[in-house]
Amino acid sequence: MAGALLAILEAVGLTVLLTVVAGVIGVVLGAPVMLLSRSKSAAVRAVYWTFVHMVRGVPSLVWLFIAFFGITQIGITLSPMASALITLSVIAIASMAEIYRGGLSAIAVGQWEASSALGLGRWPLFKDVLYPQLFRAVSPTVATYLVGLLKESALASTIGVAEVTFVAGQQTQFYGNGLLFFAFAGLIYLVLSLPLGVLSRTIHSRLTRRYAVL
Amino acid sequence: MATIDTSVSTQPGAPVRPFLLAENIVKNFGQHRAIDDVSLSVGKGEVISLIGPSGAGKSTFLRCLNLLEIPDEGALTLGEQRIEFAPGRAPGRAEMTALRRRAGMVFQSFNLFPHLTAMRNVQLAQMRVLGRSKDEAGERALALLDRVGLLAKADAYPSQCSGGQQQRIAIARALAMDPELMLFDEPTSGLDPEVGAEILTVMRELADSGMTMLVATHEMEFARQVSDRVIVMVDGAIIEEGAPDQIMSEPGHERVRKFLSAVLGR
Repeated sequence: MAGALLAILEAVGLTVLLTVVAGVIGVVLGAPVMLLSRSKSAAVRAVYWTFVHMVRGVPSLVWLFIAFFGITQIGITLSPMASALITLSVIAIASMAEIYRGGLSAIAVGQWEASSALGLGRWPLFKDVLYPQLFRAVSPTVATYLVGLLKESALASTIGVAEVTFVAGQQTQFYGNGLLFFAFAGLIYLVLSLPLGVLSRTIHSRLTRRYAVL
Repeated sequence: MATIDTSVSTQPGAPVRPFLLAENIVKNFGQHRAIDDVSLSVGKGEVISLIGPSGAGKSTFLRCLNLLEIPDEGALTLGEQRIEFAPGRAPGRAEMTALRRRAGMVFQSFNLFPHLTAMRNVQLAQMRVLGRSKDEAGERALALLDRVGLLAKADAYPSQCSGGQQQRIAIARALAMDPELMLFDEPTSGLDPEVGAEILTVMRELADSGMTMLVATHEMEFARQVSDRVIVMVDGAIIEEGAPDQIMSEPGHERVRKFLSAVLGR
Protein backbone atom coordinates (compact mmCIF):
# COMPACT_ATOMS: atom_id res chain seq x y z
CA MET A 1 0.00 0.00 0.00
CA ALA A 2 2.83 2.37 0.83
CA GLY A 3 4.22 1.57 -2.59
CA ALA A 4 0.95 2.71 -4.19
CA LEU A 5 1.04 6.02 -2.33
CA LEU A 6 4.65 6.48 -3.30
CA ALA A 7 3.72 5.86 -6.95
CA ILE A 8 1.08 8.57 -6.73
CA LEU A 9 3.58 10.92 -5.11
CA GLU A 10 6.08 10.26 -7.86
CA ALA A 11 3.49 11.38 -10.41
CA VAL A 12 3.63 14.90 -8.92
CA GLY A 13 6.50 15.64 -11.30
CA LEU A 14 4.28 15.37 -14.38
CA THR A 15 1.43 17.32 -12.76
CA VAL A 16 3.83 20.12 -11.89
CA LEU A 17 5.45 19.98 -15.33
CA LEU A 18 2.07 20.32 -17.09
CA THR A 19 1.03 23.21 -14.86
CA VAL A 20 4.31 25.09 -14.96
CA VAL A 21 4.87 24.77 -18.70
CA ALA A 22 1.31 25.75 -19.63
CA GLY A 23 1.31 28.46 -16.96
CA VAL A 24 4.56 30.05 -18.08
CA ILE A 25 3.56 29.91 -21.75
CA GLY A 26 0.22 31.49 -20.89
CA VAL A 27 1.70 34.23 -18.72
CA VAL A 28 4.37 35.11 -21.28
CA LEU A 29 2.47 34.75 -24.57
CA GLY A 30 -0.89 35.93 -23.22
CA ALA A 31 0.45 39.49 -23.13
CA PRO A 32 1.40 39.89 -26.80
CA VAL A 33 -1.72 37.97 -27.85
CA MET A 34 -3.86 40.39 -25.82
CA LEU A 35 -2.32 43.24 -27.82
CA LEU A 36 -4.10 41.86 -30.90
CA SER A 37 -7.38 42.90 -29.26
CA ARG A 38 -6.15 46.51 -29.35
CA SER A 39 -5.05 46.47 -32.97
CA LYS A 40 -6.22 49.24 -35.27
CA SER A 41 -7.09 46.58 -37.84
CA ALA A 42 -10.57 45.13 -37.49
CA ALA A 43 -9.37 41.90 -39.11
CA VAL A 44 -6.68 41.43 -36.46
CA ARG A 45 -9.19 42.11 -33.70
CA ALA A 46 -11.54 39.55 -35.27
CA VAL A 47 -8.74 36.98 -35.19
CA TYR A 48 -8.30 37.68 -31.48
CA TRP A 49 -11.98 37.35 -30.63
CA THR A 50 -12.38 34.20 -32.70
CA PHE A 51 -9.37 32.64 -31.00
CA VAL A 52 -10.52 33.55 -27.49
CA HIS A 53 -14.11 32.49 -27.99
CA MET A 54 -13.23 29.23 -29.66
CA VAL A 55 -10.70 28.28 -27.01
CA ARG A 56 -12.80 29.29 -24.06
CA GLY A 57 -16.22 28.38 -25.41
CA VAL A 58 -15.39 24.71 -25.89
CA PRO A 59 -14.72 22.46 -22.87
CA SER A 60 -11.02 21.88 -22.26
CA LEU A 61 -11.64 18.14 -22.35
CA VAL A 62 -13.04 18.38 -25.87
CA TRP A 63 -9.97 20.30 -27.04
CA LEU A 64 -7.77 17.72 -25.40
CA PHE A 65 -9.57 14.91 -27.24
CA ILE A 66 -9.32 16.82 -30.50
CA ALA A 67 -5.58 17.29 -29.95
CA PHE A 68 -5.08 13.63 -29.11
CA PHE A 69 -7.71 11.54 -30.91
CA GLY A 70 -8.85 14.04 -33.52
CA ILE A 71 -5.78 15.15 -35.35
CA THR A 72 -4.36 11.68 -35.88
CA GLN A 73 -7.00 11.43 -38.60
CA ILE A 74 -5.24 14.17 -40.53
CA GLY A 75 -1.94 12.43 -40.11
CA ILE A 76 -0.55 14.20 -37.04
CA THR A 77 0.07 11.91 -34.12
CA LEU A 78 1.12 13.41 -30.84
CA SER A 79 2.10 11.66 -27.65
CA PRO A 80 -0.38 12.03 -24.76
CA MET A 81 2.05 14.36 -22.97
CA ALA A 82 2.54 16.55 -26.06
CA SER A 83 -1.22 16.74 -26.66
CA ALA A 84 -1.85 17.71 -23.05
CA LEU A 85 0.94 20.31 -23.01
CA ILE A 86 -0.21 21.92 -26.25
CA THR A 87 -3.88 21.96 -25.26
CA LEU A 88 -3.31 23.37 -21.78
CA SER A 89 -0.85 25.95 -23.11
CA VAL A 90 -3.19 27.25 -25.78
CA ILE A 91 -6.03 27.46 -23.26
CA ALA A 92 -3.69 29.27 -20.87
CA ILE A 93 -2.72 31.77 -23.56
CA ALA A 94 -6.37 32.62 -24.26
CA SER A 95 -7.25 32.84 -20.58
CA MET A 96 -4.25 34.97 -19.67
CA ALA A 97 -4.88 37.26 -22.67
CA GLU A 98 -8.37 37.92 -21.33
CA ILE A 99 -7.04 38.53 -17.82
CA TYR A 100 -4.48 40.99 -19.19
CA ARG A 101 -7.12 42.70 -21.30
CA GLY A 102 -9.21 43.31 -18.21
CA GLY A 103 -6.19 44.61 -16.30
CA LEU A 104 -5.18 46.94 -19.10
CA SER A 105 -8.56 48.64 -19.12
CA ALA A 106 -7.95 49.50 -15.44
CA ILE A 107 -4.81 51.51 -16.26
CA ALA A 108 -5.49 55.24 -16.48
CA VAL A 109 -5.57 56.79 -19.94
CA GLY A 110 -3.11 59.41 -18.66
CA GLN A 111 -0.38 56.77 -18.70
CA TRP A 112 -0.70 56.44 -22.47
CA GLU A 113 -0.84 60.20 -22.91
CA ALA A 114 2.20 60.86 -20.75
CA SER A 115 4.12 58.17 -22.65
CA SER A 116 3.11 59.59 -26.02
CA ALA A 117 4.00 63.10 -24.93
CA LEU A 118 7.47 61.84 -23.97
CA GLY A 119 7.81 60.19 -27.36
CA LEU A 120 8.03 56.63 -25.99
CA GLY A 121 7.61 54.05 -28.74
CA ARG A 122 5.22 51.14 -28.57
CA TRP A 123 7.65 48.63 -27.13
CA PRO A 124 8.96 50.79 -24.23
CA LEU A 125 5.37 51.91 -23.59
CA PHE A 126 4.37 48.29 -23.17
CA LYS A 127 7.47 46.96 -21.45
CA ASP A 128 8.33 49.84 -19.12
CA VAL A 129 4.99 51.51 -18.46
CA LEU A 130 2.03 49.23 -19.04
CA TYR A 131 3.28 45.72 -18.30
CA PRO A 132 4.61 46.43 -14.78
CA GLN A 133 1.32 48.09 -13.85
CA LEU A 134 -0.63 45.34 -15.50
CA PHE A 135 1.32 42.72 -13.60
CA ARG A 136 0.48 44.40 -10.35
CA ALA A 137 -3.20 44.76 -11.21
CA VAL A 138 -3.69 41.19 -12.35
CA SER A 139 -1.41 39.22 -10.03
CA PRO A 140 -4.22 37.97 -7.72
CA THR A 141 -6.35 36.95 -10.71
CA VAL A 142 -3.39 35.19 -12.28
CA ALA A 143 -2.71 33.23 -9.09
CA THR A 144 -6.34 32.10 -8.98
CA TYR A 145 -6.13 31.11 -12.61
CA LEU A 146 -2.92 29.12 -12.05
CA VAL A 147 -4.60 27.16 -9.24
CA GLY A 148 -7.39 26.41 -11.72
CA LEU A 149 -4.80 25.32 -14.28
CA LEU A 150 -3.19 23.00 -11.74
CA LYS A 151 -6.54 21.30 -11.23
CA GLU A 152 -7.24 21.24 -14.95
CA SER A 153 -4.00 19.35 -15.53
CA ALA A 154 -5.89 16.32 -14.15
CA LEU A 155 -7.72 16.19 -17.49
CA ALA A 156 -4.52 14.81 -18.99
CA SER A 157 -5.23 11.57 -17.12
CA THR A 158 -8.04 10.86 -19.58
CA ILE A 159 -5.60 10.41 -22.44
CA GLY A 160 -3.11 8.43 -20.41
CA VAL A 161 -0.61 10.99 -19.11
CA ALA A 162 0.71 9.42 -15.92
CA GLU A 163 0.15 12.42 -13.68
CA VAL A 164 -1.28 12.32 -10.14
CA THR A 165 -4.92 11.59 -10.97
CA PHE A 166 -4.00 8.99 -13.57
CA VAL A 167 -1.74 7.10 -11.19
CA ALA A 168 -4.31 7.31 -8.38
CA GLY A 169 -6.83 5.70 -10.74
CA GLN A 170 -4.32 3.08 -11.77
CA GLN A 171 -3.57 2.14 -8.17
CA THR A 172 -7.31 2.02 -7.38
CA GLN A 173 -7.91 -0.42 -10.21
CA PHE A 174 -5.08 -2.53 -8.92
CA TYR A 175 -5.64 -2.43 -5.15
CA GLY A 176 -9.17 -1.09 -4.71
CA ASN A 177 -9.21 1.42 -1.84
CA GLY A 178 -10.15 4.36 -4.09
CA LEU A 179 -11.07 6.51 -1.13
CA LEU A 180 -7.54 6.51 0.20
CA PHE A 181 -5.84 6.95 -3.15
CA PHE A 182 -8.04 9.73 -4.47
CA ALA A 183 -8.08 11.50 -1.10
CA PHE A 184 -4.29 11.36 -1.21
CA ALA A 185 -4.35 12.75 -4.76
CA GLY A 186 -6.68 15.53 -3.56
CA LEU A 187 -4.29 16.33 -0.73
CA ILE A 188 -1.44 16.62 -3.20
CA TYR A 189 -3.36 19.18 -5.30
CA LEU A 190 -4.23 21.08 -2.14
CA VAL A 191 -0.62 21.19 -1.01
CA LEU A 192 0.59 22.21 -4.48
CA SER A 193 -1.91 25.06 -4.66
CA LEU A 194 -0.99 26.49 -1.27
CA PRO A 195 2.26 28.17 -2.30
CA LEU A 196 0.52 29.80 -5.26
CA GLY A 197 -2.05 31.40 -2.99
CA VAL A 198 0.52 32.52 -0.45
CA LEU A 199 2.83 33.84 -3.17
CA SER A 200 0.03 35.82 -4.76
CA ARG A 201 -1.01 37.41 -1.48
CA THR A 202 2.57 38.28 -0.62
CA ILE A 203 3.34 39.78 -4.01
CA HIS A 204 0.12 41.72 -4.08
CA SER A 205 0.43 43.16 -0.59
CA ARG A 206 4.06 44.10 -1.17
CA LEU A 207 3.27 45.81 -4.43
CA THR A 208 0.26 47.54 -2.96
CA ARG A 209 2.21 48.79 0.04
CA ARG A 210 4.96 50.09 -2.14
CA TYR A 211 2.85 51.95 -4.66
CA ALA A 212 -0.23 52.48 -2.51
CA VAL A 213 -2.47 52.47 -5.53
CA LEU A 214 -5.01 49.99 -6.90
CA MET B 1 25.27 68.65 -20.82
CA ALA B 2 22.44 70.27 -22.71
CA THR B 3 20.49 72.83 -20.78
CA ILE B 4 17.76 75.23 -21.57
CA ASP B 5 18.64 77.84 -24.13
CA THR B 6 19.02 81.14 -22.35
CA SER B 7 20.55 83.03 -25.24
CA VAL B 8 17.31 84.53 -26.49
CA SER B 9 15.91 87.47 -24.64
CA THR B 10 12.43 88.45 -25.58
CA GLN B 11 10.88 91.78 -24.89
CA PRO B 12 7.12 91.80 -24.63
CA GLY B 13 5.66 93.00 -27.86
CA ALA B 14 9.00 92.93 -29.68
CA PRO B 15 8.83 91.29 -33.10
CA VAL B 16 10.11 87.76 -32.79
CA ARG B 17 10.89 85.11 -35.35
CA PRO B 18 8.00 82.63 -35.22
CA PHE B 19 9.31 79.48 -33.61
CA LEU B 20 5.98 77.76 -33.34
CA LEU B 21 3.39 78.47 -35.96
CA ALA B 22 -0.11 77.04 -35.87
CA GLU B 23 -2.09 77.82 -38.99
CA ASN B 24 -5.85 77.46 -39.26
CA ILE B 25 -6.05 74.50 -36.90
CA VAL B 26 -9.40 72.72 -36.90
CA LYS B 27 -10.28 69.80 -34.64
CA ASN B 28 -13.66 68.07 -34.59
CA PHE B 29 -14.94 65.52 -32.13
CA GLY B 30 -17.72 63.92 -34.11
CA GLN B 31 -20.17 66.73 -34.90
CA HIS B 32 -18.63 69.05 -32.33
CA ARG B 33 -16.04 71.52 -33.57
CA ALA B 34 -13.63 71.75 -30.62
CA ILE B 35 -11.03 73.95 -32.32
CA ASP B 36 -12.32 76.32 -34.93
CA ASP B 37 -9.71 77.73 -37.30
CA VAL B 38 -7.14 78.78 -34.72
CA SER B 39 -3.87 80.36 -35.81
CA LEU B 40 -1.07 81.37 -33.51
CA SER B 41 2.51 82.44 -33.94
CA VAL B 42 4.91 82.07 -31.03
CA GLY B 43 8.42 83.45 -30.85
CA LYS B 44 11.32 81.62 -29.26
CA GLY B 45 11.40 82.27 -25.53
CA GLU B 46 7.90 83.68 -25.50
CA VAL B 47 5.56 82.79 -22.63
CA ILE B 48 1.91 82.68 -23.55
CA SER B 49 -1.04 82.16 -21.23
CA LEU B 50 -4.18 80.64 -22.66
CA ILE B 51 -7.20 81.64 -20.65
CA GLY B 52 -10.91 81.21 -21.08
CA PRO B 53 -13.85 79.34 -19.60
CA SER B 54 -13.81 75.57 -19.17
CA GLY B 55 -14.65 73.80 -22.40
CA ALA B 56 -13.31 76.68 -24.50
CA GLY B 57 -10.77 74.37 -26.15
CA LYS B 58 -7.59 75.43 -24.35
CA SER B 59 -6.58 71.86 -23.50
CA THR B 60 -7.55 70.54 -26.89
CA PHE B 61 -5.52 73.23 -28.60
CA LEU B 62 -2.44 72.44 -26.50
CA ARG B 63 -2.95 68.75 -27.20
CA CYS B 64 -3.07 69.51 -30.92
CA LEU B 65 0.33 71.19 -30.62
CA ASN B 66 2.05 67.97 -29.54
CA LEU B 67 -0.29 65.74 -31.54
CA LEU B 68 -2.00 64.02 -28.63
CA GLU B 69 -4.95 65.12 -30.72
CA ILE B 70 -4.42 65.06 -34.45
CA PRO B 71 -5.92 68.20 -36.00
CA ASP B 72 -8.34 67.64 -38.88
CA GLU B 73 -7.14 70.67 -40.81
CA GLY B 74 -4.39 73.24 -40.74
CA ALA B 75 -0.64 73.11 -40.39
CA LEU B 76 1.88 73.14 -37.59
CA THR B 77 5.46 74.38 -37.80
CA LEU B 78 7.94 73.93 -34.97
CA GLY B 79 11.40 75.21 -35.82
CA GLU B 80 12.24 73.54 -39.11
CA GLN B 81 9.57 70.87 -38.92
CA ARG B 82 6.26 71.41 -40.67
CA ILE B 83 3.26 69.08 -40.59
CA GLU B 84 0.10 69.62 -42.63
CA PHE B 85 -3.19 68.07 -41.63
CA ALA B 86 -6.13 66.88 -43.64
CA PRO B 87 -9.16 64.81 -42.59
CA GLY B 88 -8.36 61.11 -42.43
CA ARG B 89 -4.64 61.65 -42.87
CA ALA B 90 -2.59 61.07 -39.74
CA PRO B 91 1.07 62.09 -39.69
CA GLY B 92 3.59 59.26 -39.67
CA ARG B 93 4.89 57.85 -36.43
CA ALA B 94 8.42 59.15 -36.91
CA GLU B 95 7.08 62.61 -37.70
CA MET B 96 4.93 62.60 -34.56
CA THR B 97 7.74 61.38 -32.32
CA ALA B 98 10.12 63.96 -33.74
CA LEU B 99 7.68 66.74 -32.88
CA ARG B 100 6.71 65.38 -29.49
CA ARG B 101 10.23 65.01 -28.19
CA ARG B 102 10.75 68.71 -28.82
CA ALA B 103 7.50 69.72 -27.10
CA GLY B 104 7.30 68.75 -23.44
CA MET B 105 3.89 68.50 -21.81
CA VAL B 106 2.72 68.83 -18.23
CA PHE B 107 -0.76 67.56 -17.43
CA GLN B 108 -3.37 68.63 -14.94
CA SER B 109 -3.40 65.12 -13.49
CA PHE B 110 0.43 64.77 -13.44
CA ASN B 111 0.31 61.29 -15.04
CA LEU B 112 3.49 60.09 -13.39
CA PHE B 113 4.29 56.41 -13.76
CA PRO B 114 3.10 55.04 -10.38
CA HIS B 115 5.36 51.98 -10.41
CA LEU B 116 8.56 53.98 -10.82
CA THR B 117 10.43 56.18 -8.35
CA ALA B 118 10.70 59.90 -9.02
CA MET B 119 14.19 59.38 -10.36
CA ARG B 120 13.13 56.52 -12.69
CA ASN B 121 10.19 58.59 -13.89
CA VAL B 122 12.61 61.28 -15.03
CA GLN B 123 15.17 58.75 -16.33
CA LEU B 124 12.99 56.45 -18.41
CA ALA B 125 12.27 58.40 -21.60
CA GLN B 126 15.80 59.82 -21.67
CA MET B 127 17.08 56.27 -22.01
CA ARG B 128 14.38 54.92 -24.30
CA VAL B 129 13.86 57.91 -26.57
CA LEU B 130 17.10 59.89 -26.47
CA GLY B 131 19.31 56.82 -26.05
CA ARG B 132 21.17 58.19 -23.05
CA SER B 133 23.00 55.76 -20.81
CA LYS B 134 21.51 54.92 -17.44
CA ASP B 135 24.19 56.91 -15.65
CA GLU B 136 23.86 59.92 -17.88
CA ALA B 137 20.06 59.88 -17.58
CA GLY B 138 20.36 59.42 -13.83
CA GLU B 139 22.70 62.36 -13.48
CA ARG B 140 20.36 64.55 -15.49
CA ALA B 141 17.37 63.30 -13.47
CA LEU B 142 19.02 64.21 -10.19
CA ALA B 143 20.01 67.63 -11.50
CA LEU B 144 16.43 68.33 -12.58
CA LEU B 145 14.89 66.99 -9.38
CA ASP B 146 17.28 69.29 -7.56
CA ARG B 147 16.19 72.17 -9.76
CA VAL B 148 12.51 71.62 -8.83
CA GLY B 149 13.52 71.25 -5.17
CA LEU B 150 12.89 67.53 -4.86
CA LEU B 151 16.31 65.91 -4.71
CA ALA B 152 15.31 64.37 -1.39
CA LYS B 153 12.39 62.61 -3.08
CA ALA B 154 14.47 60.93 -5.80
CA ASP B 155 13.81 57.45 -4.43
CA ALA B 156 10.18 58.05 -3.48
CA TYR B 157 7.26 56.62 -5.44
CA PRO B 158 4.62 59.05 -6.69
CA SER B 159 2.16 57.77 -4.08
CA GLN B 160 4.60 58.89 -1.41
CA CYS B 161 4.64 62.45 -2.76
CA SER B 162 2.08 65.23 -2.41
CA GLY B 163 0.20 66.50 -5.44
CA GLY B 164 2.46 69.53 -5.72
CA GLN B 165 5.55 67.36 -5.50
CA GLN B 166 4.17 65.01 -8.15
CA GLN B 167 3.58 67.91 -10.49
CA ARG B 168 7.14 69.17 -9.97
CA ILE B 169 8.45 65.68 -10.74
CA ALA B 170 6.30 65.72 -13.88
CA ILE B 171 7.89 69.02 -14.90
CA ALA B 172 11.36 67.55 -14.30
CA ARG B 173 10.35 64.53 -16.40
CA ALA B 174 9.31 66.74 -19.30
CA LEU B 175 12.43 68.93 -19.03
CA ALA B 176 14.68 65.87 -19.08
CA MET B 177 13.90 65.49 -22.77
CA ASP B 178 15.47 68.91 -23.43
CA PRO B 179 12.31 70.24 -25.04
CA GLU B 180 12.37 73.46 -27.01
CA LEU B 181 8.78 74.17 -26.07
CA MET B 182 6.82 73.41 -22.91
CA LEU B 183 3.06 72.98 -22.87
CA PHE B 184 1.30 73.24 -19.53
CA ASP B 185 -2.29 72.01 -19.38
CA GLU B 186 -3.79 73.62 -16.29
CA PRO B 187 -0.89 72.43 -14.15
CA THR B 188 -2.26 73.84 -10.89
CA SER B 189 -5.97 73.16 -11.30
CA GLY B 190 -5.95 69.96 -9.27
CA LEU B 191 -4.03 71.50 -6.38
CA ASP B 192 -4.63 73.63 -3.33
CA PRO B 193 -3.74 77.28 -3.96
CA GLU B 194 -0.66 77.28 -1.72
CA VAL B 195 0.57 74.09 -3.39
CA GLY B 196 -0.17 75.59 -6.77
CA ALA B 197 2.14 78.44 -5.81
CA GLU B 198 5.08 75.97 -5.64
CA ILE B 199 4.38 74.95 -9.21
CA LEU B 200 4.03 78.51 -10.39
CA THR B 201 7.40 79.36 -8.83
CA VAL B 202 9.04 76.56 -10.80
CA MET B 203 7.29 77.71 -13.96
CA ARG B 204 8.32 81.30 -13.40
CA GLU B 205 11.97 80.23 -13.09
CA LEU B 206 11.59 78.22 -16.26
CA ALA B 207 10.14 81.24 -18.07
CA ASP B 208 13.01 83.39 -16.78
CA SER B 209 15.50 80.90 -18.18
CA GLY B 210 14.17 81.55 -21.68
CA MET B 211 11.94 78.52 -22.25
CA THR B 212 9.17 78.93 -24.79
CA MET B 213 5.98 78.15 -22.90
CA LEU B 214 2.26 77.83 -23.58
CA VAL B 215 0.22 77.64 -20.43
CA ALA B 216 -3.49 76.89 -20.22
CA THR B 217 -4.40 78.35 -16.87
CA HIS B 218 -6.97 79.88 -14.57
CA GLU B 219 -4.19 81.58 -12.59
CA MET B 220 -4.72 85.20 -13.60
CA GLU B 221 -1.83 86.47 -11.47
CA PHE B 222 0.54 84.10 -13.23
CA ALA B 223 -0.86 85.15 -16.58
CA ARG B 224 -0.42 88.78 -15.68
CA GLN B 225 3.04 88.61 -14.13
CA VAL B 226 4.85 85.95 -16.10
CA SER B 227 3.42 85.80 -19.58
CA ASP B 228 4.43 87.98 -22.49
CA ARG B 229 1.07 87.54 -24.12
CA VAL B 230 -2.38 86.42 -23.05
CA ILE B 231 -4.71 84.63 -25.40
CA VAL B 232 -8.40 84.29 -24.65
CA MET B 233 -10.22 81.31 -26.09
CA VAL B 234 -14.00 80.89 -26.19
CA ASP B 235 -15.91 78.17 -28.05
CA GLY B 236 -12.82 76.78 -29.71
CA ALA B 237 -11.64 80.10 -31.13
CA ILE B 238 -9.22 82.84 -30.10
CA ILE B 239 -11.36 85.90 -29.49
CA GLU B 240 -8.76 88.21 -28.05
CA GLU B 241 -5.03 88.40 -27.54
CA GLY B 242 -2.57 90.95 -26.32
CA ALA B 243 -0.26 92.04 -23.53
CA PRO B 244 -1.46 90.77 -20.13
CA ASP B 245 -2.16 94.19 -18.66
CA GLN B 246 -4.08 95.29 -21.69
CA ILE B 247 -6.28 92.19 -21.68
CA MET B 248 -6.83 92.25 -17.93
CA SER B 249 -7.58 95.92 -17.56
CA GLU B 250 -9.30 96.83 -20.81
CA PRO B 251 -10.67 93.74 -22.53
CA GLY B 252 -12.26 94.61 -25.83
CA HIS B 253 -14.66 91.75 -26.08
CA GLU B 254 -17.82 91.45 -24.00
CA ARG B 255 -17.29 87.69 -23.43
CA VAL B 256 -13.78 88.37 -22.18
CA ARG B 257 -15.02 91.08 -19.83
CA LYS B 258 -17.59 88.68 -18.39
CA PHE B 259 -15.09 85.87 -18.04
CA LEU B 260 -12.52 88.10 -16.34
CA SER B 261 -14.97 89.58 -13.90
CA ALA B 262 -16.04 86.04 -13.01
CA VAL B 263 -12.51 84.75 -12.36
CA LEU B 264 -11.03 87.90 -10.89
CA GLY B 265 -14.04 88.55 -8.70
CA ARG B 266 -13.62 85.21 -6.97
